[in-house]
Parts: sequence; structure tokens; C-alpha cells
Amino acid sequence: MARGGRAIRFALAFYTYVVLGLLIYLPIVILIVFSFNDSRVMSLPWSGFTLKWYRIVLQREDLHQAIWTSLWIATVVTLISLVLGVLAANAMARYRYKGRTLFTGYVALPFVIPWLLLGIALLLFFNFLGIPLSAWTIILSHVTFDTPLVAILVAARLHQFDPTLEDAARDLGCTPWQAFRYVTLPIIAPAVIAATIFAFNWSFDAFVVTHFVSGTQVTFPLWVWSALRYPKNLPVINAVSSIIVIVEMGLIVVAEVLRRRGEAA
Amino acid sequence: MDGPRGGLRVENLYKRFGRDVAVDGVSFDIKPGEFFSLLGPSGCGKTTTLRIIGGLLTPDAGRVYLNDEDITFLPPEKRDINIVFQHYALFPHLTVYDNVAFGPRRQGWPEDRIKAEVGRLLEMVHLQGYEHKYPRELSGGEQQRVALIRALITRPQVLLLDEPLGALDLKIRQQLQLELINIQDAFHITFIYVTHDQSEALAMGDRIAVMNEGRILQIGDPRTIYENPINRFVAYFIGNTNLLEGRVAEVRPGGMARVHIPGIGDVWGMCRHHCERLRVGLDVAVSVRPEKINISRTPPSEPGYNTITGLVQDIIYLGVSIEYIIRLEQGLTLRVFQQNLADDARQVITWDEIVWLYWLPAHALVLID
Ligand SMILES: Nc1ncnc2c1ncn2[C@@H]1O[C@H](COP(=O)(O)OP(=O)(O)O)[C@@H](O)[C@H]1O
Ligand SMILES: [Mg+2]
Repeated sequence: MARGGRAIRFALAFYTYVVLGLLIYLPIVILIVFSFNDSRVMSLPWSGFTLKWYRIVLQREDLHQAIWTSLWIATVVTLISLVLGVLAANAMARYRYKGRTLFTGYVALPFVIPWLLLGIALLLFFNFLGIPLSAWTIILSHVTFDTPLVAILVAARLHQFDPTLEDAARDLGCTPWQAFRYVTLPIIAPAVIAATIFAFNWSFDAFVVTHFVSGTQVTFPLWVWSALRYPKNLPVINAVSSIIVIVEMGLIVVAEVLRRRGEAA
Repeated sequence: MDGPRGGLRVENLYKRFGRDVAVDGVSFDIKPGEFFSLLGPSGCGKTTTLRIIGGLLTPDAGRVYLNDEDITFLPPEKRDINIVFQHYALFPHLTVYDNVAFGPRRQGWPEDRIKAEVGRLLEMVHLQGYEHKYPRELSGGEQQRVALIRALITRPQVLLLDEPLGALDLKIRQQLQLELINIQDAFHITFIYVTHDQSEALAMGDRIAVMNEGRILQIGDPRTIYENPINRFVAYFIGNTNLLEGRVAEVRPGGMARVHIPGIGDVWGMCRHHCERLRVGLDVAVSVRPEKINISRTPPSEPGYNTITGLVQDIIYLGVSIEYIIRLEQGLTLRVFQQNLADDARQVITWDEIVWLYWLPAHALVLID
């Protein structure tokens, strides 16, 4: 029995570290390693260590412009989605009304619709209304999937929130807004911060949907996509991707730690 | 401030949730500084009534007056009424200090006054040094005390306590009952104390309102409620009683009535409520408290008692008293309490003995409702 248990544990550990590790992290590790390789082709043998690709990253104006576009779009999208998502989370978690299930279903929709279909649908929608494609159509499109993301993360936390705490706050002299500000918000803050980080990442990374509704705007994922057509760009993409992967993984770890801490409290 | 503050009156409160009527025409008038208990079984509408008084719910009909001022539609933050919630509702993200300081801060007290007052109140409830702990680090009794002083610190005119000791062990509960009474004395604040525990209501209230299914059945001081219940529910819910169902056989002036109880025979009792409805043939209940019944191996030596015989089915030793379960005809049983006097001959009463039970007609209440 003990032997069997150990074998199973070993198999599980093997699976976790080796299979998942290889599948998910090895490509990223290879990406990062080759961003320091002094060669235009991404293959062995190793041609020597260099920082020149990173130097090029620092010099490419079009790349900087694309990153800047993605950053400000992601910022605006995150702010809008936070407001809409927290409101939706309140509706989902706190109040009983007719059509509540339907509403929750609507909010979950973007998680099950393929990105490709969502992109096409949005493009048709903007065409239909005669809205010219611009940064604002990108923002609107990102909000359609970021809002549900925020709503679901925050609602999960609100479900555990005891509404009597808001009653207590009102009883002790708070207006409804103050009760939210001093009691509800601090308690759901970990979930809100986690949602902020996830929402920012989703917008920053969005390629498929953006691809359909961007018009002449070049976001960072679109820049990578077009740069890929020229093999000489490959090492530069490697370098910039390495930077972004590290930053994003750092943010996601922070978000996940916050989310779990919120659940534990 | 002119005159005493903290008088609270509610008139015909009515509240429905969907199809369920939670509060069905509740009225009472509480004097400033009174300790008023609201007693009733779980689900009878106590919390709903309290939330209406606190302003957390708006009644469908009826009015709430504080010192004769209509506050029915005043939001909770504007009412000089605070609540100690059933499960304390302490803010989990704030320390004990910040929890207690919450109300004063909303009222804009200077921080040094808050500090002094929080320290003083923590000391009063024996929690000095707890300032920096979080609610989850406290025991139930400690959380209860924090909830209490958090609601008290701003000296509201009325304090609403929703089963504040309900979740605590008996020993802690008894200790906190005393502390609560002392605090109410010291602060001169009107208390509305909700409980489903009749012994707690009897021990603590200046007056008790007994509630069932959204209605107030009877309001009175503990003695009146216990000795003179208005109907079967109140008699049964407050303390223990024997309820004997029967039919009126004879009515005398002054409320005396002879009631025929099938299987027992005729007993005399006193009617004290709605006696104008008393007439021969009416179905009534006779309520006799177990401690009012004498138990003996011999019949009473004086006349004037209701007297019956029965078989000792069970004897339960309770320490301060002994409880006998006596079987009568037709499956009826009576509970009898006798004080535990060590030298009492009654102590030799044992199982399966035939015994005499007798009690005064004044101690048998004829209940019409
Ligand atoms: N928010 C609510 N929604 C629906 N029904 C409720 C609500 N609050 C209370 N009730 C119902 O009203 C009745 C009285 O409840 P409550 O006042 O909490 O009773 P108590 O405090 O005496 O136990 C119960 O039947 C309860 O189910
Ligand atoms: Mg209750």
C-alpha cells in the first residue's frame, strides 16, 4: 500500500514537473535563451552570447509605438471594465431578480465563444453601424471580454461577502457609498486588484479580436504578427517577447497571490 | 435635549417578503431607559421588526417614532439607534480598535477622544490590550463584547440587540447577561433585546413582548407574563406548563370556572383574560405550572384543592428540584416539580406508585385562546 502510494505520488510529481513543465515552460525558456544567441536563425549550435537584439529593441521606433498603443488601450479598457465589471458582479452576487440566471449566462458568454467568432461578430457589428475602425473600436471590443472577466472574478469574492457587514456600516453612520468604500471595497480589494491585472493582460495580449477591429492601429501583438513575415526580425521578436513574458508572468503571479489571499481571509 | 430621550413607539408595523407575512401589525411603546425584551420562536419576525426600527428595512405599513418624531423613512445612518447584530457583523478587515472607532469616526470625533473612549470601553468589558487583534483572533464571547461596545460607544438613544448571546456557551451567556444589565444601568440607554430563550427574557427584561407568527401576543412584566399568560401559546412558550384541554361545565362570577377534562374529571380554575366569552360548553385549556402542583402519598388535609390521582411514570433528578412525570387516564401526563428538600417525605415516592396531586384553583388558569 505504502509502496503503491509512493508510486502514484511519484507519477503525479513526474507529470506535474516534467510533462506540464516541458509543455508550458520549455518553449518560453527556449525563447528567452535564444534571445541572447548571436545568430539570426533560431537553432543550435549556439553561436555565442549577445545583447544586440535587445539593443535593437531599444532602437525600433515602430515597436515602441506599438507597445505604447497597446499600453494605453489596455489602461483605458481596464478602467472601463473595472467599473462595469464590479457593477455587474454586484448584480450577479447580491440581488435576486428575474432573469438573473440569464444575466450570469450572458456574462459567461465571452468565455465560451471562440475569439475568432467574437472578432468577426464585432467587425460585422461596427460595419453595420457604420462605425469606422480605430483605437476606440479596439477598446470597445476588449471591453466586451474584459468586463465579464472582471465580473466573474469579483463576483466569486462577493458571494462570500456577508451583506450584514454593509448593514452594520450603515447602522454606524455610513451612507450607501461610504459603506461600499469603507467596508465592501477593502474586503473585496484582493479580487479587484487581481481582476485589474488579469484584465490588463488580456487586453494587452489580445490578438485575434484586435486583428479584426484595429483598422490602421498597430498594437503590440499586431506588430509581432507583421514582423514575423521577415525572418530577420525573429531574434528581435524573441528579445521583446522575453521582456514582456517576464513582466506579465510577474504580474500574474502577483494577481494570483492576491486572489488566493482574498479567498483565505 | 428636553426631557428623557430614547422613547420608542411602533404602530402597526407590517412587512411582507413575497407571499410571506413576516411582521403582521406589530405595535408597542417603550419608555426611555427601559429594558424591553422581544421574545418568540425562531422565524416569528423578531429580526425583521428590529431591522425596521434600525432603518435597514422599510415597513410596508406602519410607523416608527423616536421621542414622538416619525422616523419611519429616515435612513439608518441618520437614526440615533444602533444594532448589535445576531452574528456580530464585526468588520473582518479592521482591528478591534478600528471596529470600535468606526462609528465615532463617521461622526467626526477627534482621534484623541476616540482613543480615550475606546480604551475605556475595552477596559469595561475586560478586553484591555485587544486593540490590535483582528475579529477572527477572538473567541465568540470576546467578539460579542466588541460588537456591543462598537454599538454603544456613540451613546445611541436606543440599542437593538438581536439574540446577542444566542451563539455562546451557557456559562459565558450567564456572565454576559449580568454584564449587559449592568451596562444598561450605567448608560441609561433604551434596550430592545431580542431572544428566543424564554428564561433569558424572564431574567433580563423590565417588560417582555411575546411574539409569534409576526404578531405580538402579550406585553407585560416577567411576572405577569409567567403567572398570567393570555393564551395557550404564551403559557406553553414561557416556562413549563401542563395544558389540559377540556370544556366549561360551570361559570361563577369573578372568573371562576369548573372545567371538565376527559379522563381526569372536573377541575376548578381562574379565568383572567377575555372572561366575557366564558360560558358553559366552551372549549378551553387549563394551564397548571409544574411547580404549583403538590405531590403526596396522601390526599390534602384541607379542602379547596383540585385533587387527582396518577401513576408515577418517571422521576428526573434536577438538583435544585425533582421532576415527576405522572401518568393519568387516556394517555395524559402531568409534569410536577418539587423543591429538593433532603428531609422531605415525598422523596421516598418511587416509580409505579399511585400518588395524589393537588393544586389551588387560583393556580389553574382557564385559557380561552
Ligand atoms: N430578506 C428576506 N427575504 C425573504 N424572507 C425573509 C427575509 N427576512 C426574513 N424573512 C422571513 O420572514 C420571517 C421572519 O424572519 P425573521 O424576522 O428573521 O425571524 P426571527 O428573527 O424571529 O427568527 C421568516 O419566515 C423568514 O424566512
Ligand atoms: Mg432573527
